[in-house]
Amino acid sequence: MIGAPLQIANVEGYLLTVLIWVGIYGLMALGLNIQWGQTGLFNIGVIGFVAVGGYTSATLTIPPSSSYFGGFGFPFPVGLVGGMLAAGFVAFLIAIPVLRLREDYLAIATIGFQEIIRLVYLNEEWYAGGPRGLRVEAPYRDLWESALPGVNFNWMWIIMLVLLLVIFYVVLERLNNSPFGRVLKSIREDEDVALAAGKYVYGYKMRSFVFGCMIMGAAGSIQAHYIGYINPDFFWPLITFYVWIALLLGGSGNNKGAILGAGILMLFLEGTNLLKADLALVSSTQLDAMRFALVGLLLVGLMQYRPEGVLGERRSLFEGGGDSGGSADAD
Amino acid sequence: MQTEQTESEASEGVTEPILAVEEVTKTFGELLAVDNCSFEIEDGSITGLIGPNGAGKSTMFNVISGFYQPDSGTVRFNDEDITGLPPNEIAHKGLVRTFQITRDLTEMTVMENMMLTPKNQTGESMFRAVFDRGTIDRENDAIAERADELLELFQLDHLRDEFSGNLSGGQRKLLEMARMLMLEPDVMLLDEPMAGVNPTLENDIVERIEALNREEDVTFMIVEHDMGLVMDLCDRIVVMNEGTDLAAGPPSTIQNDERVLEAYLGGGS
Repeated sequence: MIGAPLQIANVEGYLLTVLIWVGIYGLMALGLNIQWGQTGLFNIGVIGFVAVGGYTSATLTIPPSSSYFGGFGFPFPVGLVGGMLAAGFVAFLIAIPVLRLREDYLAIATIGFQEIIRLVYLNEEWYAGGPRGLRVEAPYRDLWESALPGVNFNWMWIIMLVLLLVIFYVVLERLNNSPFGRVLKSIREDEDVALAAGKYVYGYKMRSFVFGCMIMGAAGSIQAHYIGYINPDFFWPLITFYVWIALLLGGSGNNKGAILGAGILMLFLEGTNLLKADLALVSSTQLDAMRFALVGLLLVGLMQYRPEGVLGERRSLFEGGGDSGGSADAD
Repeated sequence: MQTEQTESEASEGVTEPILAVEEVTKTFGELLAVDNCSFEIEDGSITGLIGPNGAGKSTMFNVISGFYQPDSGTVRFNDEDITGLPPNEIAHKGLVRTFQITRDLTEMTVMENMMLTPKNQTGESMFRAVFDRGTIDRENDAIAERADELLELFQLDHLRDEFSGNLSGGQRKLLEMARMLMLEPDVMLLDEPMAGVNPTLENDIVERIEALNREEDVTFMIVEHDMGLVMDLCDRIVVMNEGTDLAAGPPSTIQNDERVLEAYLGGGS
């Protein structure tokens, strides 16, 4: 019962849009996977690092203007790399004090950070227009249209996302299957064992956290340039939980699972959209409220029936990450 | 006096101490866990650390291995002051420890457990891990060879690719020891290596300890509650009570030490 004329008219465009979001969430989930899935770092401020990547990338690439900070007019790759570096640098600053403490403190710091950074972008209007946001040009549009006239420009994004996903996937897999990855796993399982085995745990956690946040920064950069617009409303904490669900669905600890999970997540989110568009069961506001409940239900169901996710490596989600309590046995 | 006697006996031996604990004190708030405790471990020995529950043995281990910072006192290892160094640096100097409750890397295979520990692996650098696979593969092969030798010695070779979470309690104890041996330590601190281990496996562990001590010159310090076993296995015993060193000497002396008996039997004053 496909009733909505808009979707029939533009199936290709619709599918491309969904796929692009799968790619963007896939990047975020890959970033979260090295942190949580491989190292056991509890980052619940994902969207904050995405925001830093997006805003930095925007500022670096837009033309100069007096109504916002800079506008440096650099080409897109500079924006992408700059966004990654900025997200990584912010992650580094947050991690300096926090990673020495018990793992719960990272959760507290990151969840606070993502709210603070959104409010900073909202209120510091001189920087990026505050609530008005910035217009960000999509790169390579002229080039694409002259080279491939008539082909949907969104294919450019698909190509770029596939390229990025493949690069990060290969890098992450190599890291995972190396002595570096072994140390990350041992930290995830029990930090004290890694310490007793002579590993400088703090340094490994730092590298894992910063690298994961850089990938999230890349996702932010792509997102800003794809939408063509950036403002604080794109960076609500809800997105962080979507990324978590994607990772947990696909299988924590597994890089393929992270990308697959992003696919399942989009299927779920778009599926609930169809409830509205085609079946007209609920109104738009009802749907938005219902989606929260459904997301919760999905998570509960996941815990009950498949706690390791579809392709999960870990046999359980919330145990085995090393007991965070005392540092060593008491007498 | 008993103490003078034991000290003179110790100095008769040719070997110098490889590990020396000097007047260490460690408090947790009001609780005095280790109170001005001193003892020495001779190079090449198997030393037992015994004492009633709450005597401060595990706290002492944690201080020596760097997991706790002592309030005062020093720990010297190979004539070097290692007090307050982080655990990873102490481990790389050749002083390693196992945990009282076996710490598992449950979702890593036995082999991954073994290959974790060797130090200065090229692939521990992120850049080399991504771009220098050749070197990493070569190193991994060499490490795996050593790991296989040790697994065979510890009779864990048939469990090589099993998740360590699926091992029995005793096998985990063996794996933990084997894993730490990959660091080629000079001294191993074993915190209750026989706890929860069946008698057959217990004999295995004892044999391993003796063989490593004899053949690879590893010095051991062992916390253990089974007195018969400690007296058989150890060349020398250190007794702790109420956070401090009560006595030290060969098993025969310790067995007849009135203060030790008193501490264990809970005699007053």
